[in-house]
Amino acid sequence: MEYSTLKIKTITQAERGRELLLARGYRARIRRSAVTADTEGCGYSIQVNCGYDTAAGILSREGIHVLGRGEP
Amino acid sequence: MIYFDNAATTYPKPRSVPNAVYAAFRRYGANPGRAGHNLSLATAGQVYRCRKALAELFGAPDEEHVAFTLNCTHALNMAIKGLLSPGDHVVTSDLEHNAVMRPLEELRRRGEITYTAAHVHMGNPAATLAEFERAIGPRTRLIVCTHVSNVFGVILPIEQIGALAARRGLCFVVDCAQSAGVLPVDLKRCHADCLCMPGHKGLYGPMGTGALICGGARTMRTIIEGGTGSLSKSLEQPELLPDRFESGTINVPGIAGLYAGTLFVRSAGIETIRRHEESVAGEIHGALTEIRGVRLYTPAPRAGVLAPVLSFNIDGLGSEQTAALLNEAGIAVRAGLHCAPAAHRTFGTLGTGTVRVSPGAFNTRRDGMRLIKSVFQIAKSRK
Repeated sequence: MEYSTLKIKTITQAERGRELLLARGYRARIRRSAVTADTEGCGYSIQVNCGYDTAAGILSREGIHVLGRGEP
Repeated sequence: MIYFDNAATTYPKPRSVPNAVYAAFRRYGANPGRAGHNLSLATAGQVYRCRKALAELFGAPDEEHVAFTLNCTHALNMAIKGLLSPGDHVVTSDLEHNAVMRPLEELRRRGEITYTAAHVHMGNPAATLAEFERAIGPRTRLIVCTHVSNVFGVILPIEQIGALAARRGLCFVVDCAQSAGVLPVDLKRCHADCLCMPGHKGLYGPMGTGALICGGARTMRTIIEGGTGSLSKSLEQPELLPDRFESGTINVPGIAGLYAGTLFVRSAGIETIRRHEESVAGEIHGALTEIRGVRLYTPAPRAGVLAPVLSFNIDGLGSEQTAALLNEAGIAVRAGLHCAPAAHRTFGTLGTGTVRVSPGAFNTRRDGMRLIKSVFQIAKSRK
């Protein structure tokens, strides 16, 4: 099973994104993003059981800005 | 006690509301949006459910456009001060609460803005609209007005006023203090940039809750900045909603209660609650018109014209005296100016104030009969 992690800016966007993915039949959960030198600071990620591009496409179409790939 | 002061805050709350507040202390006791542990994520989930319920009820674009505030006044200050710049002109109505008037007056005294209060013609939306249109000038940036007068129940035609604002390229902010949960309000239908509302009135949530619902088309400046749990490397306040307007820890137990209150309203139905309140208020109004010495200021509540809020006085008695006598009879009403001197000036009651009767979802016809009987006795004793 393919898993991917998508970095999101805010907890509210992460909640909304998770809900969108669940509604499409994926398993998704929210976790805290790791803070690294190249991130904008604290934030959240969505871990989902589908490919990154598929999930990022779903979220982007609904106006959720995906910051990039999160830690697996 | 019979409680007829629901325009100040609804009481009692549905049982689900205190239960939800209590449950929040047990189940949602962590800080939402700040950590990654399960309790914090569960708390964030509960906060999100409340956002979603409010977004659905008021036609917000999505949950991100619902920011929690302390109350309606807080939301109005954020909207008014966030949208205006020095040199701007504002159009408001002559029925406003101080929650609108004091921020406007403060900005005017600082020399930053000017404002004009348009006259509201009760029951004549076209005439009211014409007054608003006449008040618009070249420097007008914002129309801000109440949906319902908190003293007299007069309903303003916010959809038409919003359409006017949109036509003229103006911002539009609605004070939904008396209408949220009582009348249908839809952000898109009234072309509003912001709906400001309390959580503790018609939405039956706890005191200390409110919401700022934004259309999101315009970036608003903030009046409070701080930690949001997001984008924390930057010293600039995030632009993303709702974080932009939610610095510091939010009132999770209050929001959990507000969620329960919102579900109550949704399940009972806004129209059902309004019709019930209108029926109770209408019966009281009809009986008070028959009592000699009682002065009413508006016709009976009527859908689209007057919300179920009544104001009256008894000849020879101050409004506070009448309220004190009603209190002795076990009836809670509010007297005085109701923080709305502008509305009292318009109705000619600035010198006396009025006694306000505002039913809620839990008032009964019997409560109304008790009030009528007590007013009759007080008025009779004055002859």
